[in-house]
Amino acid sequence: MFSLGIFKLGLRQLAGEHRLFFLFFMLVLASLPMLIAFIMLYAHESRSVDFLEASRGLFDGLILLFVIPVIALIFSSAILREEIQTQTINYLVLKPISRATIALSKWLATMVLVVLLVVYSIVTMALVFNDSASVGTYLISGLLAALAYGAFYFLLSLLMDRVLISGFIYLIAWEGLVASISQQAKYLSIRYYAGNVEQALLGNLKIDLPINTSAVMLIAIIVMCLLLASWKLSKMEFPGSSE
Amino acid sequence: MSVISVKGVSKWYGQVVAVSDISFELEPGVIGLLGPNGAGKTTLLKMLGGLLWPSKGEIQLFGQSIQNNAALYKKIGFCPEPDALYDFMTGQEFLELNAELLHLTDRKSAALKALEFVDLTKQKDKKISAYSRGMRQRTKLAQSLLHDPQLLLLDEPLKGADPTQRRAIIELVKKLSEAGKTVLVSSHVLYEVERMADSIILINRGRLVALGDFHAIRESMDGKPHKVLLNVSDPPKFGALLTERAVVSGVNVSPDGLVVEISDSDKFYGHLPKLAVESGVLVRKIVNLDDDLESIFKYLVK
Repeated sequence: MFSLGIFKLGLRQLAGEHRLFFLFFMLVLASLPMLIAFIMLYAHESRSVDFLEASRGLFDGLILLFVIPVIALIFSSAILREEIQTQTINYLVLKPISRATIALSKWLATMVLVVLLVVYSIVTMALVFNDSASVGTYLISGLLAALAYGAFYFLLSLLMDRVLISGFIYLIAWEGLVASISQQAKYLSIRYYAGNVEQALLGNLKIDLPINTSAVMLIAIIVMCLLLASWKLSKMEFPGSSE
Repeated sequence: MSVISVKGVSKWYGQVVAVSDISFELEPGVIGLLGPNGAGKTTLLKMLGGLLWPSKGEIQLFGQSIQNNAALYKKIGFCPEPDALYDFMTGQEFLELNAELLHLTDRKSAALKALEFVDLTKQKDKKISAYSRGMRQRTKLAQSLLHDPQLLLLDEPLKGADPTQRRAIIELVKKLSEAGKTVLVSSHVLYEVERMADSIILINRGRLVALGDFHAIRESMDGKPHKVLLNVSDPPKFGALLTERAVVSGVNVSPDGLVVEISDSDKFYGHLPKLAVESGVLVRKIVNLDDDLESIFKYLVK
C-alpha cells in the first residue's frame, strides 16, 4: 500500500526547486502566528501580556481556525488534481501499482510537508510566548486536525475540479458560519473535534465530548476520507483532451 | 489466445458516442490504428490501456481484463499522446522513476538502455523542460519500452518528431515486431503507418471500417473504381481500344503512360493480354496506383 517512488515524486512536486516561491508563501503563512506573537509582545510591552492566554488565543483563533486548514487545503488539493489536469497521472496509473497505493503514497507525501509546517508554526509561536506547558497539547490537536483536513481535502480534490474554492467555502461557510450556529452541523466539522481534543488536554471540564470520542471521530474522518479517495481513484477514468 | 481481444466495445459520453460496437482480435506484429481526427483512435487506445472503461462490451489483454488489474501493466507499455511530462526532472530521472514504478531491479541501466534506444543519451542530464518536441516524444516512447513489454500501445508516437527521428522510430517499431512483440500504433500519417505496420485497423466516427492486411483490404474493394497506370508503346491507341471494349470506366493519357480507371479487376486483367496481342501494343509496366494506404483510407471512409 506504499510506493517510495510515488512518495518521493510527491515530495518533489510540492517542494522541489521549481516551487521555491510557493514554498516561501507557505512558510510565510506558517510563520504568521509567530509574527503576530512578536507584534503582541512588542506592541503591548511584554509585561502586560498574559503569555498563556495569548498563546491559546493565537492557537484557537489563528492556527486551528486558519493556518492548519489553509496549509492542508493548498497542499492536498494540488497533489493529484494537478497530475490529472496535466495528464502526467498516466505515468502512474499505467504501472503495476494499485491505485490505492498511488493515492496513499501521494497523501503521505503531502502530509509530511503539512506536518512539518504545522509543527513549525506551533513551536515558533509557543517559543515566542515561552509557553512550553501547552505546546504538547497544541501539537496533538493541531496534527490531528492537519491530518483530518488533509484527508478531507485530498478526497475533495478527486471529486471536483475547483477544490480550492470548495475548500474555502467549507472552511468559511460551513465551519465558520453554519457549524458555529447549528448544534447539529458542528458534528460535521473537523475544527469542532480538534478543538474538543485541545480543550480536553488543557483540562477544560466544560467540553461537549470526551477526548476519546473526539479523537476517534478525527481518526474516523481520516480513514474514511482515504478509503473513499482510494475507491474514487480506482474507479476514475482519464479521458484527457478529446481527439 | 489473442494478445488483444475486443468484443462489442462501445464508449459514450452522455449522448456522444466515441466508439461504437467494435470487435477485433490481434496477434503479434505491428498494427496501425488509423482514422481521421475525432474517429475514436485515442479513446480506443485508452480503453485498451485501462485509462477509460468501455460503456459496453469487453476488452481482454493476454486473456485478462485490464480493469483493476495493475499486475498486467508488467506486460504492457503505453506511450500517451499528450505532451505531458515531469518537466522539473531530467530525462534520466524521469526514466529511473518509471523504472522504479515498474519494479525493475536495475533502474539506472534500464533507463540508460532506453535512452540509448531513442538516441537521447547525450541529453540525459538536461531538464525535460529544455527538451524539444521531438525529444519529449522520444522520452515518452522510452518510458514505454523500459520493461521490454510484450504489448506496446503507442498513441501518435511520430507526432512532433523530425524526419530523421521519424525514420528512427519507424525502424525501432519494426525491430520490436521482429522480436515478436505486439505493437498497436495510432497515426493519421498514412504513409508512415504503411512503412511500419503489417496490418491496419481503420476506424471512422467510432466505427470499425476495415481490419487486416491493407493489400487484402484493397483487393476486397473490387467493384469500387481504382486507378492503374499502364506503360504502353502506343497510349492513345490502347486507350481507345480499352474504352471501346468497355473494360475500363475511364482513360487519361499522362506523361508516365495511360492511367485507366477500372471497376472490375477480374475483367480488366482477364482482357488485358488479349487486347495487347490484338492491337500489337507493347505493355511494358502495370502499376496499381491505388494500392497504398492513402487510397484505401479515402475509399473506405467515404
